[in-house]
Amino acid sequence: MLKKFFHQFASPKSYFRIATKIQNPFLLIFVLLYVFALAWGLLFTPEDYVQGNSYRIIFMHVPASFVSQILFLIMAFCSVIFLVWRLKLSIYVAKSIAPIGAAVTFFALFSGSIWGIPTWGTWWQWDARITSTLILLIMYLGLISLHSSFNNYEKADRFFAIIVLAGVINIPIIKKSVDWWSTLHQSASITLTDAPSIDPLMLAPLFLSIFSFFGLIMGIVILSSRYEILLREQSKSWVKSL
Amino acid sequence: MGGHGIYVWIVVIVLFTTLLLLILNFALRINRLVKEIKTFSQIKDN
Repeated sequence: MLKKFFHQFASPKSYFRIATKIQNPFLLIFVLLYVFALAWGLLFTPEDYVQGNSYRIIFMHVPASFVSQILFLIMAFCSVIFLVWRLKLSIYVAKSIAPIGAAVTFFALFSGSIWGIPTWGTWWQWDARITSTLILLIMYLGLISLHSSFNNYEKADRFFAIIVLAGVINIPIIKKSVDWWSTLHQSASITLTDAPSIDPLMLAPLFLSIFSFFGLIMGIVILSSRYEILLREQSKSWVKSL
Repeated sequence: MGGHGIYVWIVVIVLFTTLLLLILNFALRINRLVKEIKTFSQIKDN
């Protein structure tokens, strides 16, 4: 029964129908939640003792950085499913994540640069965290151009999945870079083992902004994956009957 | 919001512009593709 459920959900047609129904309410809920979290963080939290108001970029920069890495992990998960079980839907979703991942990573770097101007006195530094995040952006862009360079979808999908799995090593490097090397970028304020070093008044809107931004981006992934499915399955009768 | 608040608002504007462009990009692509599929289907039927 579980196998039947899995195979039903894993069909592009079923996924498309479910995605179409949930997309708009999903996006609306998380947009409103993120706007609330942002308003909370930008307007109702106290100033930082050292950084003043510029620290408030944290409510955009940290969610973006977190989501940019999570998206690559999701791509890697989908790539494994595709290579092992040959499920078309998994590679459609993986491929649809790439442009969104690139945009979010670019924003993470941009917001970090803007934050760096008042904080570090520079908008760029070749430190481990920033450089490895730049590599992540280059990987996203490289994957997009790799896929579009093939005439054959089968080959494009296979190479895409393999390169994603090769590149996923960058994610733990980004995560641990602030511990392994002496970096300008600060080390983690929130860890699994120690109490957070951020004041609770700032921590609550930060957690909410991370959660709601992730939901918002997943809503955009649903939208993007619907497009990818329509593109790939356009010759099928169920698409023509839409 | 005084002091370095201007940097925060620049980031807010870029963030929402990026999100809006992302959503519009895919929504418009879906609309165009659905129209193309329907048009092609009608031509084929005729």
